[in-house]
Amino acid sequence: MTFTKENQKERFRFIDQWADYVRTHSDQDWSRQQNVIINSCLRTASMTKEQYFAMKNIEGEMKQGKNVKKFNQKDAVNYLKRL
Amino acid sequence: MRFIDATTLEINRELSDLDRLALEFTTILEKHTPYVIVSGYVSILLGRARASEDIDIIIPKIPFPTLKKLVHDLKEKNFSCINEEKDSDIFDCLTEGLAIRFAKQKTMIPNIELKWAKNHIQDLALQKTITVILPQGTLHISNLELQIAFKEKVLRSPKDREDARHIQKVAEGYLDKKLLQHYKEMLRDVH
Repeated sequence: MTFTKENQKERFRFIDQWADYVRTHSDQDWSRQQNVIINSCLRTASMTKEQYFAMKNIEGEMKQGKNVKKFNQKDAVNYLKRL
Repeated sequence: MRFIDATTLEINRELSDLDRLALEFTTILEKHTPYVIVSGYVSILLGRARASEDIDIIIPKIPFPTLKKLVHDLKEKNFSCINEEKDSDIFDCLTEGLAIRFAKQKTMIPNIELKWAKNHIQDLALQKTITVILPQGTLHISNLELQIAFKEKVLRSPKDREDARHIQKVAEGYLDKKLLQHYKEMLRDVH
């Protein structure tokens, strides 16, 4: 099995485990844990308008199958500098 | 999470920053037009362990005067359109089938991606909504069977497949399997 397939299998396994947790625990319980991810991601992702649209452009190119490596905020900034 | 009936779901969740944004925005939006929330935020609302920088919302086509009032009301609550400034340009964007984004003033993330329904699948999403009752309000999301089928058969990225799997697992026992199969067959031709 390739690394990608093995990795996807692992991810699906965790998704199943987490979905099971959501079903069997109170909404307050799972949402409190989930909010750690959501709120921290949003509060640290500070971007200018230009950086944000550069990121969305890269995402668009990726969806069209173009050879753009997976980006993060730093990549978006670097991408902008190259424009 | 409690599936009350085929069109109503109650989630007594602790609200996230995304939930607050969705509730604040849709409280204004629904005064002007019906709407449906689709895509990633649907799975996040149902517990998927990931974040998103935007919330995708589909509305039917609305005339310019309605859009103008909507934008005015949004501005009063400190929302601004981040792609266009003038009402006429916002309207032109929508007319061309493009999405417009609204965020709270002086921020970019999180934001709302708003677009007009432009095909029969999006019309279907608008017609078949689920009302989600949250502790501080309600939201209208797309029918779950349609969301799963769309993510599996049309979008198909690893993230979308994972979203679909999460929804399928948490809603197990409540999904209409025949309807899900019907949507999958319908969408296979779209792709």
